[in-house]
Amino acid sequence: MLKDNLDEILSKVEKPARYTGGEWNSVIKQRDEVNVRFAFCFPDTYEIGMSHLGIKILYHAVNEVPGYCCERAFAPWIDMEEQMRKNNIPLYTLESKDLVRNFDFVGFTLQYEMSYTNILNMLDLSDIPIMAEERDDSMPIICAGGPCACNPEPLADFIDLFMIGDGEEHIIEIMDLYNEMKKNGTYSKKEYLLRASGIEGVYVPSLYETGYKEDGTIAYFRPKAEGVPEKIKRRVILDLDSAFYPEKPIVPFTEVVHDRITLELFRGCMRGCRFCQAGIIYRPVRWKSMDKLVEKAVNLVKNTGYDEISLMSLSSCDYPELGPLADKLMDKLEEKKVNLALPSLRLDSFTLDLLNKTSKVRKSGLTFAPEAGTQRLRDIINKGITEEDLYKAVYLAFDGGYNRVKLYFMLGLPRETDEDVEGIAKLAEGVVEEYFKVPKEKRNKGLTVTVSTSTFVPKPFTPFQWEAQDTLDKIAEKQRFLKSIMPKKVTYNYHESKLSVLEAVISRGDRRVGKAIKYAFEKGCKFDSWGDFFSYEKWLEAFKEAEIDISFYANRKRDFDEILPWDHIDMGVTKEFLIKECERAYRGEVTPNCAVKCQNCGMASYKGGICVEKRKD
Amino acid sequence: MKSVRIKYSKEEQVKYVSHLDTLKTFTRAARRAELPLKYSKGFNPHPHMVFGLPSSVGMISVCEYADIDFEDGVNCADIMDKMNEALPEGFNIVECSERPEKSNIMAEVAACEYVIYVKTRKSVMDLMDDISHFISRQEIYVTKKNKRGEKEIDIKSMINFISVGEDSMGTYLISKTAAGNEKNLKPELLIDAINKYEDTDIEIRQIIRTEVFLK
Repeated sequence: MLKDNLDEILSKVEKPARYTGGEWNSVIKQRDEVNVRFAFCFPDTYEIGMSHLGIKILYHAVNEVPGYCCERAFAPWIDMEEQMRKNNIPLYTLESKDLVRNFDFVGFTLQYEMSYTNILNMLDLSDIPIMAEERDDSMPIICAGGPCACNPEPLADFIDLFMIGDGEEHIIEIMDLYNEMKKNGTYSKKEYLLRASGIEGVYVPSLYETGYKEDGTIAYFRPKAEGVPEKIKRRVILDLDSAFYPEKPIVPFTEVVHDRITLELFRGCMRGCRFCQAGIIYRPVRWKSMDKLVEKAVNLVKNTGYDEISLMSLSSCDYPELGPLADKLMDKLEEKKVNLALPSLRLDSFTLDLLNKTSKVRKSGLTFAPEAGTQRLRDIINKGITEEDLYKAVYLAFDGGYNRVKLYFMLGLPRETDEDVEGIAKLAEGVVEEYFKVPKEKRNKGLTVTVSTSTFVPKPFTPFQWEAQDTLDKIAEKQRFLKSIMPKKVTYNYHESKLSVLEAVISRGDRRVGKAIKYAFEKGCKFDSWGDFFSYEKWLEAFKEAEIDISFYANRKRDFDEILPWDHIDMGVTKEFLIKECERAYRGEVTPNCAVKCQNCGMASYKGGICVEKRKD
Repeated sequence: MKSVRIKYSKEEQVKYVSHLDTLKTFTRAARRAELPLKYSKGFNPHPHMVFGLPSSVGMISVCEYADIDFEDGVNCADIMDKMNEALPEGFNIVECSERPEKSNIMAEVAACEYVIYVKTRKSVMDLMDDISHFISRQEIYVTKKNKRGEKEIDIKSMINFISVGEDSMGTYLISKTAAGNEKNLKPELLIDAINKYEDTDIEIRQIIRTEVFLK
């Protein structure tokens, strides 16, 4: 029945192939061979979701297990949602076309805070009550994981179970427990969640209670029942060489954002930039071996037919054998017309040789991220690069025939002064000067230098987690100032920072913020990160009705001893380390990276990755 | 070089895959099949493939053509077998034969036959009357839209025949109309024209391309 109705609406929507499945390497299991079914829901469009590495890994990891299946659902675009609601078609999965609400698990990945309204909308589209307490035993277990799960509190009212950390083993364990309880007839949602809370890395918010002081800060946060862990320890897979990595990923029919093979070189980042959440929550650095990577790459090319491989990680130039790896890959794959792409270049390790190995002969634009305008501020944020690094890199690029450079900066970093903002314009000027230093006959005509600034958002589990975000007015003032002093040859891009304000509120939000997310959804907010649909006004109304003061969350500096909403989540890095790093930032002291010297951040207790590899030396 | 022409079907499961994405799907399938595609020279080498008459999104087809060039050393039977193994379900190559190197499928298409399942309040008999009235007209003007704007054209000469039938899936029309680079009449436009000139309320449920006639 769903099929007939579907056919009728699919002819009325844009890009219908997003809603039909059937892609190469997608996995369809017969209903009678499956005991436990997991619906993986990505709270954004198909094009974005299918570009995401996590879904590829977990989808195939679950489908590897006999008796379990994982199917996919994405947020339908506005036109499709309208048709679905009009024709009473609930959200379904692409594989079996069965309804999401008929699954045993519905799992969301939390990649960015501004996708939260989409989560509620997708539950609603599935005919599943959005509030966890309103869902009985007949409803699927709603779970969530991913980077934003490190502060799960804003979603505590909606999600039954969070998975903290690496998911490829974790997801199987929570399905195993469910399978066992269903088989021996002991399953009830309540009993399941209680037992699941005993699995390392599982957080069941309904098993905890919290209270607030008069000033609005948290008074206490504790388990409601005995046996429920006080702290939830993040799951870490130490040996990535032997961990599951899909060799037959789905190849979409329609164009997606990253339409290529993703080869993950390592997890974690050794750099320790103080604004960066990923740099902390994925520690320690865990490299994959070169031989394993080459073997995987060859199989991936054969199984997908793709002609491009992206060498993925948080900072790919930090892969110890990047040059030899690129050589080996090209050696094996050049005749198959395969290109390599390197998405994250660092200024200090930039060489043209590397670039020539990885990009097509066509000289396209290059992007660098100095993040801050002066050495003083770059030291504060521990972005270990210098002006010389930048000038050297762009000179090399211009000399090698490149003529388009993009520079990324943040505005509103802690302790930022007018001089730092001015510094951005000066750096851009310096880049233009480097271009003209290159002999006329060697440089390519038509220089474009673009500067983009984003607004700094303080994030949990960073040394800046206690910092205040600049107010909207303050940021606007800085943007205007920068625009007024930017050299004429440079294009300056920036946008209103309203979205960054909301991100700041939600990323460091507590349980009370959930109410505002619910109200925003009820007012029709969705696809908030898509400029065309974002309504700051609706969000403001939602906060007002939820009695949430934006400035309390976004613009307030916290004390080190305040109980933070995410204190019960143990990501492995200690609070002492974060405090120490914050204090070093105030003193403008740079901290060497993990490869140079261990800083005792706490990760060594996991006994793996760079922490132990360094000790061997 | 081995130049071949393939005939393939595009079935229910993949009917929403666009023309451009179909091309990409065949390229990737050939790479998975490890067939030696012939690439162009230059900075940005691309395989040489020409796909015949684009079918609109949602159309099913049992007769699609594409011209593909391979390096020497493969034969047609191999290409067909290996490609079919590497193509997603719903695409199925039914014929593969050598073609002269310079020939181009797009230049050779002359006409197309479609089965069009429709929704209508009228009985099959009444619809037959309407259609015979329609095709007996001297001229049939419709508005054709393209990138440059709208144009009034007479499609009378582009209609070869139309007939009406009924089976377990419902009422259908069968049409043969001009197709290709010079004159091209899409079935959607034909139905619009019938509704414009006759007292009909035909809605398209499903279009199936059943035959492509070459010059």
